[in-house]
Amino acid sequence: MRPVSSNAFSTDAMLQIQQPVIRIDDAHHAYGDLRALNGLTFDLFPGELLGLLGPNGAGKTTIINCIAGRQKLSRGRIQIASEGRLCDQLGIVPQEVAVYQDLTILQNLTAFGRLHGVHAVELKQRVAQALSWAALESRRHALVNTLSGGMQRRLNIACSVLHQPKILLLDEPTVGIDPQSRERIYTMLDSLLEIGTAILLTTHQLDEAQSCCDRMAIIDGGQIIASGTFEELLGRTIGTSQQLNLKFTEQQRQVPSPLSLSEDGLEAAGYIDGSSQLPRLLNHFNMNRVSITTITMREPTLQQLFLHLTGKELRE
Amino acid sequence: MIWTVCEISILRLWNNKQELALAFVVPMIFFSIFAMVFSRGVGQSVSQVRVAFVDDDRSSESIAIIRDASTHPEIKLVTGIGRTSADWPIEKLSRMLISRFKVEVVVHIPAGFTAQDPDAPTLSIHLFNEGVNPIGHRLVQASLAESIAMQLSVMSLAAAKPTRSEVVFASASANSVLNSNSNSTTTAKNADFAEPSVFKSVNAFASNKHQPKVAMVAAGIAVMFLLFSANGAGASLLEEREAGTLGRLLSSRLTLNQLLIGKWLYITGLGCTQLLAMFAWGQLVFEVDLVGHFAGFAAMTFATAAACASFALFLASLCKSRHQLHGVSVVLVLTMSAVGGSMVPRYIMSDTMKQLGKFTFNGWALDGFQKVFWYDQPLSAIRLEVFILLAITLLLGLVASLMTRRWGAA
Repeated sequence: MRPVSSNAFSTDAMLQIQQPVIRIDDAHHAYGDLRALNGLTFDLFPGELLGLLGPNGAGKTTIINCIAGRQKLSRGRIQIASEGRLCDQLGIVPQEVAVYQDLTILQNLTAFGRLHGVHAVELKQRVAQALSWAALESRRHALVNTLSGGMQRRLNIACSVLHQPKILLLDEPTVGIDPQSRERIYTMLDSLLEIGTAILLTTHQLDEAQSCCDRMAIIDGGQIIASGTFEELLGRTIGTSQQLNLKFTEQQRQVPSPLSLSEDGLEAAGYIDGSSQLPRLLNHFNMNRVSITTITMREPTLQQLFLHLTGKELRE
Repeated sequence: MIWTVCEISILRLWNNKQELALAFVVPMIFFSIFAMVFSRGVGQSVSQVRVAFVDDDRSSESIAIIRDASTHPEIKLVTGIGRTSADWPIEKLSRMLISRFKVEVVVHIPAGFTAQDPDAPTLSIHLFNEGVNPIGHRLVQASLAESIAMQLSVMSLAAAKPTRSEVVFASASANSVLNSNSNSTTTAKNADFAEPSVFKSVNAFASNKHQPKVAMVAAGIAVMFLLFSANGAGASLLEEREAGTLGRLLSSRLTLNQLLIGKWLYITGLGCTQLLAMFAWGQLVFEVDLVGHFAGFAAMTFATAAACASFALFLASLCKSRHQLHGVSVVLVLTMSAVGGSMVPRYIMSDTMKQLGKFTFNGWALDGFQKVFWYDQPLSAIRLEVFILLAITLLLGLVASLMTRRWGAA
C-alpha cells in the first residue's frame, strides 16, 4: 500500500471531515438509448487518490469528460470546490499519449504550459520542475516519437500538471507500459498527493489500484456499486479470510476444521481468519507428526472482490 | 500464398467503401471533366472567342464584314461596350478592352481599308490579342477572311460590276468601337483582301516589355498546390482529434475558435510564404516580374491563401477522419483545378465550362493573377476577385467554426 499522505484519509468517516473538491451527485448521461451514467454519486477529497474501477463501457471516461466540462449531464450535478476558471483547477491526462509526437519534450512542455496560461516568467522554471519530476531531463531535446512508451506516458502526465492544478483526472495513465515505468508514474503521483492534489484515476490494473489507491470506487452500469478502502470493501463483501493451502509428504485421513482434505489425501485447503489460526493449525500437525512440504497463504484479491461485485471480469 | 496476399488487398478495398468509391468515381469524374473541356462542353456550348471590332473604316463593307463575321460560331461578339475616348491610340484601347471587358481579340479595321487598291494593299486588319490564348486570334483571322471574301463577292454581284472598284469610306478614329452603326456608302470590293497578308496579329501586352507566359502558368500551379498544401495542414486538426491532443488543447485555456483562428493564420501564412517563394524563384529563373507587380501579387496571394485556409478548415470540420479528408480533398481540389483553369487553360473551354470555373477558387484567383501579371492592372482592378475570395474565406471559416463545435462538446 502506498504510504497515505498527511492530507489523505482512508475511511469514509474520516473523509467526511474534509470538504470534497469534487462532489458528483446523481449524475446521468446517455448516448442515445445507452445510459452511460445512471445516478453516479461520489466525492473526491484533497490529497486523495481515488481509483475508479469498472469494466469497459461502465462510464469511467464519460464521467471524466463530464467533470472536464466536455460533456453535459442530463440530470444530477457536479460541484467543484475551487475558485477561478475550471481549466485552471483541472489537469486532465487522456488515455492516449496526447502530445505532439514531432515536437521535443521541451517544446511540448513549453507549448502546453503557455496554453494553460502559465506566465512567461514562471514557465521556464515550471518546465524545468516538470522535467525533473518526470525524470526526463536528459531527453529534453528528444523528439517524442523517439521515446519509450513509459517516457511518453510520463510526459503525457507532466504536460497536464504544469499549471499546478488542484485536481488531476487520469484516464488509464499506465496502460501498455512496463512495471518500472508504472512504478515511476505512481511515484510522480505520490509527490502530487503530498502537496494536496486530489487525483481521480481510472484503471484496469487491479493490482496497482489495490496497492496505490487510497480509496476505490467500483463502477458498473453507470453507477457506483461499492466504494471505500480495499479492506473496507473486503469487509463488506467477501470478508478478509485468507486461503490456506498445505501439502503433505504422506497421505492423510483427516484434517482439522476449517481445512478440507483433497481426494488423494496429500493436500488440504481452507479459509482462515487472520493469522491467529495458522499457528494453532501448524501446532496440531506438529503434534501429530505430520510432515508438511508446502504452506501457501493467499490474501483475497481485488480481482475476487471485483468479480463478486460485478459478476464479470474487469476487461469484459 | 500470392493469391492470399491479393485476396487480402481485395477484401480490404471491399470493406472500405469510401476507398472503393474513390477508386472508381474519381477516374470517371476526371474523364467527364476533361471530356467536357476538350469536346463541346456542358450544354453543347462551343468554345468561342470573345471579339470586339474597332471599325475606323466605317463603311458599309466593313459593317457587313463585322456582321457576317459575328455569325461564325467561333466568334462571340462582345456588345454593349459603348463609346470611348477618341484620343486613345488603338493599342491602348485594345488593352483596355481586353483587360476590362475580357475581350480575347480586338479586330481593328483601319480607315481606308476597304478603299485601298486590292492589288497592292498597304493597310492591314490588326488582330490585337491578349497573348495568352495562342489559338483565338487565328480562329478569328480565318473567320474574318471568309467574311471578307463573302461580303465583297456579294457586293460585287449586287453592284453588277466586275470585282474591283473604288470605294468611298467615312473616316473614323478609335472612338467607334464595335457595333457602331455607320451610314457610309460603299461599293464592291475584292476578295483578295481576304489574303492572310492583310492580317497582322499583335500581342497587345507584349509590345513594350518582356512578358513571359510562365507568369500565368505559375499562378495556375500555385493555386492548385496551395489547395493541396492547405488541406494537408488542415488535416492536423483531425490528427489532433484522433490522437486525443484536441481534447487536451480544449481542456486548457484555449477555446475552439482560438484554435481555428490559430490554424487559419498558420495555413494562410504558410500559403503566402509558399507563393512568395515560388514567384521569387520565377523571377530569378523565369523572368516573372514579381517586383514590378508586388502590390497586386500581395493582395491576390493573401486573398487566395486565406480562402484556401478556410476551405481546408471547412473540409476538416466536415470529415470524421484524416483518411476521409484525404479522399474528399483529392476529388475536390483536382475538380476545382481542372474546371478553374489550373490544369487546363480556360481559353480552350466552352463558355459553360468557363462559367463553371467561377464557382472555384482557381477561377477567381487565376483571373486576379492574370490581371496583375498579364494585364498590368492596378490594385483597384482586382477588387472583385479579392472581395470574392475574402467573402469565401469568411463564409467557410464561419461554417467550419459551427461544424467544429460538436468536437468541443464531444
